[in-house]
Amino acid sequence: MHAINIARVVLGSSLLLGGVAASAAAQTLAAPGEETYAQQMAREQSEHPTLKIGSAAPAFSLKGIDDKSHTLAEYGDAPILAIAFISNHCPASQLYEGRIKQIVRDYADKGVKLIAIAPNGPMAVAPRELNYAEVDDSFESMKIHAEYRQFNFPYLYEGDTQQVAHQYGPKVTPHIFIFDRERKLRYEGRIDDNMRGNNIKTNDARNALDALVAGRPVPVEHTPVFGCSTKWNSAIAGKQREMKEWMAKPVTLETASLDELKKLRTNPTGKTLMINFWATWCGPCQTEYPELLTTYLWYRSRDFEFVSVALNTPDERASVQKFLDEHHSAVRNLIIDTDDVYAVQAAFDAKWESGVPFTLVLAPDGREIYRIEGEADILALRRRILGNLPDAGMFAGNTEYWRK
Amino acid sequence: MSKWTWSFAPIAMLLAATTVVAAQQPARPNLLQVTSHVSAERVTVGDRFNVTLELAPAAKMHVYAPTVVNYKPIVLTVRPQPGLIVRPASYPPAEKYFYAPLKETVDVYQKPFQVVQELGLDSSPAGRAALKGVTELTVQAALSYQACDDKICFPPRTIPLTWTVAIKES
Repeated sequence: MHAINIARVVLGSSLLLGGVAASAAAQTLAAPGEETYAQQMAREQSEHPTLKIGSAAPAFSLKGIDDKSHTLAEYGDAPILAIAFISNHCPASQLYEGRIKQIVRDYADKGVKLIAIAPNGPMAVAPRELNYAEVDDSFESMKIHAEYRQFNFPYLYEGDTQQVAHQYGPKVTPHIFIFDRERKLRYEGRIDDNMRGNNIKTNDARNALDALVAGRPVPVEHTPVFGCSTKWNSAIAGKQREMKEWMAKPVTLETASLDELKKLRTNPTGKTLMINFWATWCGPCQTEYPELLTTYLWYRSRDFEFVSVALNTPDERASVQKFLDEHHSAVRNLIIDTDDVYAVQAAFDAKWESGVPFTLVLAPDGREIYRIEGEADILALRRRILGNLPDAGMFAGNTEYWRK
Repeated sequence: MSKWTWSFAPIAMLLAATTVVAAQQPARPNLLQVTSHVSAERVTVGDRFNVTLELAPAAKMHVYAPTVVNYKPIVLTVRPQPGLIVRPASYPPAEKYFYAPLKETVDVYQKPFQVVQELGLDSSPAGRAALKGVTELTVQAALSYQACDDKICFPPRTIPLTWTVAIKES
């Protein structure tokens, strides 16, 4: 599981992250006949080279989350322009949002304008790469994410054509480019040297901004980056591979007794467990179910399980199986072995009024993390899960990020 | 005319004995208020009479009409017994409910509505034989329905219903 996560992190130069070397990650991901991680990075750098120091800022006209078009020219009055390539889904990028916002605040009176561009092609992001995300990288999701995190800077979408992203060549999100008054690139690289905010030794982007504000030479013009690789629309093999693997999984349906439901309520999985009671005669259940499956698809590479329980009676088994097949619900699916749904209610959860959908998320120790009788607010659900899944040190602070 | 009102627990309505019985059930929300009345307190063999159910879904809730497919429709079922003629229950035209998330239109009842059940005492020789010496008749029925709003559904419920009518000698 961790190998996938590690492999998603681009390790610039010889930088180590979490004690894991890039080469180790590359070796883990490579499958026979497929390019290694290192080969992928080399190919992408060749196909989308990063803008060189001293280059002019490529012009752009991109749609912002305010639904207006934004151009390079409109920021012409700013003595210094910083362009941060970030993304909704990337845990590294998420961890830098607060620092980017602080840069905006700290440098607003010093002639610095900062904008952010989301370079990823949404269709190129594999489900498993969304394992730290509450939304994907689509334009509409940018609006949701930016509002939730209260972005204080323009946030522009570049996921369709990626022509601008290609011209700038961000290797990862986050990757920042800083231009002077003449819009010549004076700094490109990381924001600072450590994702963990309390371990920062070098504030590279701030150092560059301070130098430009003071009219001094930028001390270090290029730094290696770390984060999540830019998702180019030309490279969707990873997503296709994952979906193929998912679709090959069988859709099964087990019969569950009241005793088994009681046991399920204690969470015997050792993982964070999402349980959803649903029924074929329930419209809101049918509406919600695909979102829950998507949530599982995204988080299954972490310690997360999903069990569905159909509240249909045993004689309705065929219709339950049909629904599960149609949605390819390749999770642990249960159907109760009784037509007494109130006995199910009493056995599983005394506080439950037997309405469906009923969704419960349990911590590995059985503690209740999230509970809703009725259709879930899927964003609230995901944020609660993310705020409770351990970040395993790789993206230390991400769990806390989702609790804020 | 007698009238009884209740809202959720399985109950028996006794026209003559005026007894309401509530079965033990786990607590659950009120979904459908049910009131019934019978068109005649005393009937004679050969008479027809109606039981009318006045039904009122809880706020924002709907129950499914008999015409639905893939959902649980409301159904009033009267238990057959000798001497009792049971006609098909009469349901009002359904309202069209558009459930946007699934882009489907479903036949439901969201506002108060009536279900009318026509009954009769059988005047055929077999019916008269069955009713001979009988001074009251207890009609047993069950009302099944399933209720939802746009965010939540509750499992199908069945309410047992009972009416007792006095029988006059003809």
